[in-house]
Amino acid sequence: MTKKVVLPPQEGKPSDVEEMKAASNYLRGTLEQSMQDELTSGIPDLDNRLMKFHGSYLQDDRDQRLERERKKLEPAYQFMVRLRMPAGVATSKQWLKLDELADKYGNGSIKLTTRQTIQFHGILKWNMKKHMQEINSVLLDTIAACGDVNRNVMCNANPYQSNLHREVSDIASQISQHLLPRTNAYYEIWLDHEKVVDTQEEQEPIYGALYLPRKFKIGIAVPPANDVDVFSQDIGLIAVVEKDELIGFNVAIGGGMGMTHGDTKTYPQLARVIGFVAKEKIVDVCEKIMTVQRD
Amino acid sequence: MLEVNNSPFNEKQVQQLNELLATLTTQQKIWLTGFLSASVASGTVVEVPKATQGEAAPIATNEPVSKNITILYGSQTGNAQKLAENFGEQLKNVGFDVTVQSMSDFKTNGLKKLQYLLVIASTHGEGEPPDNAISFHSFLHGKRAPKLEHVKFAVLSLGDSSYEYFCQTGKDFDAQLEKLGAERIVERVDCDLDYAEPAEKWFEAVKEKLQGDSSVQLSHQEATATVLQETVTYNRKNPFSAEIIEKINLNAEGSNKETIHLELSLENSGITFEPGDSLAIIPINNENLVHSLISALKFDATTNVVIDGESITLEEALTKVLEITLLTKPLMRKLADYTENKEFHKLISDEESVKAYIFGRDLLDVVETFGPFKWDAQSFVNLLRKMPARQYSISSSLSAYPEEVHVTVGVVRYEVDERERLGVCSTYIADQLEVGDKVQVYIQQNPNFRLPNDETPIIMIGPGTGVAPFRSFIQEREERGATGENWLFFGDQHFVTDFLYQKEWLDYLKSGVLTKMDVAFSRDQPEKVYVQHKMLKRSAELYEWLERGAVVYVCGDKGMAKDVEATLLQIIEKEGNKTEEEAKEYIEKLRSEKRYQRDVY
Repeated sequence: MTKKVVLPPQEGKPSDVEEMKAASNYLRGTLEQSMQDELTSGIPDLDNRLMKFHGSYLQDDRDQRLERERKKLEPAYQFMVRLRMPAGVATSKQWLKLDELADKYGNGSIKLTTRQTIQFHGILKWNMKKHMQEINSVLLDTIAACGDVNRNVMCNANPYQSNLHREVSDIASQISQHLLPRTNAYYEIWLDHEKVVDTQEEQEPIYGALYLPRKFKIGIAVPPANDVDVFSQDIGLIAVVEKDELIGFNVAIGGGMGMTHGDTKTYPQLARVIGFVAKEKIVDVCEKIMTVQRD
Repeated sequence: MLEVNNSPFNEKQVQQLNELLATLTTQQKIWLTGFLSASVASGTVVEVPKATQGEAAPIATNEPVSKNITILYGSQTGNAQKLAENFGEQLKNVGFDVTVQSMSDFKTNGLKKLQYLLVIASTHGEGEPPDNAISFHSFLHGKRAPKLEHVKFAVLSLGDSSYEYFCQTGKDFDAQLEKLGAERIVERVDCDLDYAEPAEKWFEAVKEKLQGDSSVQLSHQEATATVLQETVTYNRKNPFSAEIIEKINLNAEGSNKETIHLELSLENSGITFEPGDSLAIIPINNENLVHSLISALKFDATTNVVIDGESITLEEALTKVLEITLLTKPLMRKLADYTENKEFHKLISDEESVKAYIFGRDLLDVVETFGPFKWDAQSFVNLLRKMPARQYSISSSLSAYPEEVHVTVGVVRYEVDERERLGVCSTYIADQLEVGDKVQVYIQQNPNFRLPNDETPIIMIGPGTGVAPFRSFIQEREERGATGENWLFFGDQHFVTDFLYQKEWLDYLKSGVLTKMDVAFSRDQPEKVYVQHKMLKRSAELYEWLERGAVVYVCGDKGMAKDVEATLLQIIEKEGNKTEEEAKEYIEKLRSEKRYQRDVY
């Protein structure tokens, strides 16, 4: 029998980020009001932390900082907006919309990220809502693209390579969908959905009110390719095929593990394979592993 | 600082004393203290003049009761007011019974009791009366105006001949008083920017008439000197040379605007001012323009010309002394005497076309287009008027920045006939001056744009450079620890590049000095949004502030001011459930209570 190791509880009180999350009423905070404040193109720091869960955060043009300070102007604030795009797939219609939005509200650039998604830069506060709504108009969103949640789920880039690749790509989407925050905040703030007055714990059955301590990453590799760098993920899944049929995944755990630079108690680990899971159970297993990080 | 409420002195005395005290060395103060105590002790009481306004001292007892002279002024920048007070003082000194009042303070039922009425009125914008003359002006022109056959009057008008409706308000009063049956004792005088001398002549004529008129009671007192007393040490003729200590273009890269924040040192000048006052800056003409003009005239730059009895080179005269950038109808008519060019005579024979031509054009255009001219350098310069100083609302408070004055200058550049035109003073500041340079300035008081007491809430509407005096207001209120609420409406073209003093406003909001702020950026969305739209959005709250006694200030472009007034009417109608007529009365009441003050250009 293996010996059960109990980790000592964390010392000290919860970090201020946790307090902020707890007070945010499931990622709402004062974001809505802050976005409507016409006197500044920025938002307060606390709201900016919440903003990450909505797939965006505030930046400013560093080159202009000193000059604007002298001119008695606030920094040139603008937002970065990152999509949630499991397996990095966009339809041609979606792509054309993204291309349009880059010029319409952004600074003309579309950045492809190392986690198979896309981000825009230079979005002004007054355009944020329209930008988000137009992204949603082609059935894309930005939920959980940043922040302390499960991030964009990666896998092979081309679902049309084989039936197997298509099936794995679908599973990536299912995992992404299952691990999405359930709060209605995103829809209220950006898409004008009606406010749901509900502060029960049930609102986030997986995450709870504090979400995760750090970001969480999942990637799936279909051998022989290791395009997602599977052992660098928090959960690395390696597809197992028998008679041309996907039967499940070898599961590896490790990854960045929420490492904080300069804090030697935190460190990344190359992921280690801990066993095989049938494909029908893989979504549930990912959830359970993630809740270990949560706790 | 002495104030009316912390000393036994009246407003004028306080002002004079403050000005004087600021210039005194410690030695001089000690000496003065001794001198005054000694005079009191020895029984030689240093005479303290009585409060002047509205008080009439009976002077001669053995003669018939003296009769009333009423001096009413309509003043925007305070010049007419200063003249009225000065003349009133002088008439009092020679024994007349004088009342000096702002038209807005004058009760129209007093018209029936008037005997002698002296009107001193400036003209605002396109021939409109200044704010404190509006209601009296419309009353006199309305159905309720009484017959004034018992009144003898004279009108002095102040104006700027570069405007088409030069001195219109004075002309209106002059004509209307006659129409109502009043008798003119002296012909009206219309004064241009250099008003002191013609105003003085008018006054001499008036005084002579009054003294010669047997129906007027004179005292035995000798007339005192009737020289205009300047209340400020520095003026147009004797400006202060102020060093530039900071110069910043407030607009960020990519803006269509260029707005210069200029900080000047007043060190050792003793100059004081109040929030609401303006700084007059005497500019120098653009060197390239002067050279182009001289070469188009085919004159020699080194030729000497005589101006005010002083001989200087033509170049210097055109650079520093004379105005060469502004065309006016009177100037166009004078120029016509020197050319036989048919096109030119055709142009000036039609009011509309000459008006369209002079807009945005300058002397160089005329000289280049309508020659040949038969003139020499002297006769040419004789046609030109002196360079007027440009006035900018002061954007700092002396208590926040002692011995400094800040202004906020919108830079004017535009193109006509493929030549770039430069605003004389604004580009002089933007292009010719750097930190460390000196600039000629003096204070232009603006008694009709003043903060109320510290408890009263204020609403400030100032888009563009119109925000300048409100920076001064807020600084002053912060320094004084004023408890009255402050609400600012600001607007410009673009949020990112044109939000003048943004960081300061955000700080004031955070500290609570500024209670509320609403902004309108006209070009950040397809439809144009201006300050008046933001006012409408806050309609209910704005009216609630008015009902609580708030004072409304409007500063900036006159087109804007018109829209803002229309919006105010709309808000009062809607929120106060009033008819249009009642809303107008409401505004007039605000005006007469000095709760609606404007500084409009």
